[in-house]
Amino acid sequence: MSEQPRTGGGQPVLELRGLSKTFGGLRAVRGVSLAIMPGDRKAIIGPNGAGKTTLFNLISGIFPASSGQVLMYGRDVTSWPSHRRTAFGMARTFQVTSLFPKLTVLDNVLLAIKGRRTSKFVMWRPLSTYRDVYDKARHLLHGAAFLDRANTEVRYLSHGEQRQLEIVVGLASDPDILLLDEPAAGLSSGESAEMARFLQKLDRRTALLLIEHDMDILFDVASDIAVLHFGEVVESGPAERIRSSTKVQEIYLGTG
Amino acid sequence: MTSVQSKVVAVVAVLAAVAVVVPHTGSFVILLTTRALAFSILVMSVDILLGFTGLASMGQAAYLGIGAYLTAILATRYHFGLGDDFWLVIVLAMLCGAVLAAFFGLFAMRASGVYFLMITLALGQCVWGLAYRWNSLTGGDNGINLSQRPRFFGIDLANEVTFFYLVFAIFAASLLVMYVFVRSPFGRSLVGIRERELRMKILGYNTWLHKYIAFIIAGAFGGLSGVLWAPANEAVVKSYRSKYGKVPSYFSESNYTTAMMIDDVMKQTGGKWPGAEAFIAKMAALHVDAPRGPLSFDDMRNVVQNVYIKKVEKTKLFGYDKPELWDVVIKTYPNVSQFWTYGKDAFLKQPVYSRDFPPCKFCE
Repeated sequence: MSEQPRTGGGQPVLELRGLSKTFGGLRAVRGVSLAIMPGDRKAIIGPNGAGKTTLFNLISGIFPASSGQVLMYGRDVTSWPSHRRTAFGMARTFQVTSLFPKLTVLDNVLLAIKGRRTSKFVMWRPLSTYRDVYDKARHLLHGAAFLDRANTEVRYLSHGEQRQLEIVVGLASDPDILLLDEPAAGLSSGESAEMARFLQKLDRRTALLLIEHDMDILFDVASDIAVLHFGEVVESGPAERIRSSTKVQEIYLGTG
Repeated sequence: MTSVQSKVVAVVAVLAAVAVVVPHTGSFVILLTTRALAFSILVMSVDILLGFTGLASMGQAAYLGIGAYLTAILATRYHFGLGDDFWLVIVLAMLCGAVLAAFFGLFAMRASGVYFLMITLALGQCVWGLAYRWNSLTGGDNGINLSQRPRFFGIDLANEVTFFYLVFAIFAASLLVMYVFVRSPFGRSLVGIRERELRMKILGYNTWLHKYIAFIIAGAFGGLSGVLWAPANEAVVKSYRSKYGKVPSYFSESNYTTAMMIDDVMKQTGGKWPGAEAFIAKMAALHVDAPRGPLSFDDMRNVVQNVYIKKVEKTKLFGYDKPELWDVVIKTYPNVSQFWTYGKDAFLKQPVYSRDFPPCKFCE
């Protein structure tokens, strides 16, 4: 049940090979290939409708792929259901905050931590007796400066706080790779800067793959960038090169 | 005191009040409360599915039915579960409820939302239909007359107060089990699934499996509620005997039932005499649950009732301690009309029975 592949042995923690998704006549993702090594920080950018979130849905198992492969540490996980990929080290956040609004901050994190434990099937003992899970939850919340709000219901947090908590919940799954779908979505510039700082402080052993439009976060956090356009990777490379690429500017300005 | 703690105190206080007060009320209230407590176990199982997991299952009564019929059939046909083996009936009923839920769950859980609701409704109706039609097993819409309650570890449950305490104890135990269950990691995962199932999948939960297990557990508690709900009350025999010093005969039952029927009709008219025609019409339309069993009239105003084949046995019955000579029912023919299995038209065409045309000359 527990599949813990922490030591990759030189394998990419996540690899996509010719990953494609077609919805009827629409080819949303076309032959995307990329590799992420442990500890990498990569970003995917592209105009709206480029297929970025669809790509994330393929990687995290929400949509079945039309063709191509998703591999984790060399294992073909393309046909695996989402919960199995999480058990293998993948975590994901959503562009539209996907927390449990009526539960408290602490309850959200506890559920997330328990998701990777076989004790999630225990029925004869209250959750409150699991000291280690509570300790871990408090540790995570402390690291994100959320401890003081541990007993607040999530729906009463501000949007910016919820975006941050969304990431904390992702981290609670102990991922080797964390997929972040527009973490700065809906944030003001001040909150953006704070989010960038928050992401930079994350454990270096956790690989990050993020979708983002926000320039602050992009160039502060990501070392490599892949550009998606009409479902295809049109360019990829170190962040600085992409930044000054005329092709990328054309894509964003609509002339590409 | 937190709001959770004050709720717990309130519930415990109410339950304690029920346990203390109800035994001092009359027969009717005691039996009503007993049935309510048994039914409440079913209700709590529905809450686990609907309230905590967000699964609107409309077929949960099927599990009460399974438990109840199992108890009644084992008691009347196989004389099983009438003694210290009653606990075994409880275990079997919970098992049957769980197995049925495991089977139904495979169909129902292929859908979600409204479609899940419709499938569970259909499955529940299948069980109802089966119970209704399988006359030889379940007695159809007349049901099975459970004439006695078991003796449970030496405790005689014929006493309605004792039975009340047993059901109350099982209810309290069930409540406690479910209280821990909804606070357990598994219970909390059900809440998460209700709130955002996709999120739970991404967090590593096999949500189908969690929902399926919850469905099975609800079925098991449904079966339990059925076992406690089934044992009927047979107060009439005991109260008659204690009042008149002898056991009611056919004539006493007849008179009692006639009086009961007159009473029923007069209740309908609010105590006012409705005139002869209306009175006859109302009486002919009655469906009565008499001590002899269910009773109604056909369109020729002849009685439709159960026919019992009996055997005289020296045994303990109706909760009495000493074995006595009783007519013990060995087979029930439910709902026998004046024509029974002979078609009405065919029967009416035949001549009146006489020496030349005896009743069984043309028996099949």
